[in-house]
Amino acid sequence: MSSSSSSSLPPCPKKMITLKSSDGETFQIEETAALQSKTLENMIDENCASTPIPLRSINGKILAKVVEFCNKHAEVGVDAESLHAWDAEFVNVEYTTLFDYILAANFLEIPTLLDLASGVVGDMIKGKTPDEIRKMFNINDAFSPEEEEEVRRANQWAFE
Amino acid sequence: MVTRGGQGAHDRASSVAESLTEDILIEILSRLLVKSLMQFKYVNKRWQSLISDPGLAKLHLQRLKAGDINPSQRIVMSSPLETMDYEQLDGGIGDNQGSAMVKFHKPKLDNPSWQPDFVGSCDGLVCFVVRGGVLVYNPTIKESRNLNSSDTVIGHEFFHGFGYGSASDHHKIVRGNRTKYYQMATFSVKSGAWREIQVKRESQLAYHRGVYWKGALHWLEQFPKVLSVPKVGGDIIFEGFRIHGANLFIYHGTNNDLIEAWITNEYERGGPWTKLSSVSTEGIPGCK
Repeated sequence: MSSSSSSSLPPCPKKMITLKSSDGETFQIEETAALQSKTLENMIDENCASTPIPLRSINGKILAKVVEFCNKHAEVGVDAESLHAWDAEFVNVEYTTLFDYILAANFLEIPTLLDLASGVVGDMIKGKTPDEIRKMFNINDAFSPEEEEEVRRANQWAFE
Repeated sequence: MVTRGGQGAHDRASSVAESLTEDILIEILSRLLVKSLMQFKYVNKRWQSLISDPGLAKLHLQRLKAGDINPSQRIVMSSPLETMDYEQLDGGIGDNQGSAMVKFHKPKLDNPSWQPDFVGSCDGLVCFVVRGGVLVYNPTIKESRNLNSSDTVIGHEFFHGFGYGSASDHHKIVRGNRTKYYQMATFSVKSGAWREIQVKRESQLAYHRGVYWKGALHWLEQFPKVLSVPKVGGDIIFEGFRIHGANLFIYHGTNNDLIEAWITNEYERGGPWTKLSSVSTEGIPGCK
């Protein structure tokens, strides 16, 4: 571990907090890693983090990954390049999982994860047709042909 | 391990995608190029209204300025109004192939007889003076807005500037005349109204187009008082300055067949200027 630290302070026991997923799994995370989440930070500040924190919108599979992400990003002495490579591997998942990451990052307010996952989704959708977008985002209320013609008239150039 | 787009994925997508809030969609959309956004207006009503939202435009601009998105490269020419978009293909500048993709576009004006006179650009918007009015053009979405002219400042010899007022959060047009040295008017693009202002000017402005750079309008005559200019020998008079990306460049063509230009990114007296290579004017349209 990081015994190379030049700090002369005696090692204090790591403060852990417990998170509970929607399906009842519990996860231990170091407080320093958890502080990347503004939501958790607020709970820690208000001393609400002594009991397992229930996260009803995040399932165990996703919460495990989010904890993994926070741990990695709290690690000391990781150079930017290898962290970048690690991030790229982390988001090399199907888009539904990326949506889960985005929702979790949004709920927990973890800007680095939100940024990373939103960026990848952005890259994924940028060349797609409206039809492909509707499939991907499960959208069922497409424009009627008349309505579409109206929108088209307003910005014809996009199809040039 | 990774399976993309399988049946299972689609079923899961239905439940997850529905919980994506507008904030999250804006977060994703703000990273896309405008070309994609214009296409995605056809997805459904919700996406169309999200994409038309000024909040998204603002976030998008922030990302452009922070360098998160690669802006499209564009040259806008007036008289006749024409835009030229270009992107460097793989290999970049200096590559043997040196090829670029270029697209031309001729915007339609309300009145085809207009000869737009370039005023300035700011945040990707371009401002022109046309007969009887002012035109603000967004070359990215290829839409223009025709603004009524000011009758608060009267005179023939106008000077104009176009920029962004951070205090009011409005894009503004400044207009003044050279016969009444203290009379100016500003037009707020957001509120759509001219407002007369009294400005004490130290000297007469001969150059009648202000250049917006780093949060302020600059006028060529005042320029050496605020910023340093490149040190050149002889009686060289700088003819103009322009913005490229976040940089300012200044040029002169005093030696008849040569244009010399310098570029800087620093707003400081004595700040470093980099000399761009001198360009022979031979064969350049519009040069004598």
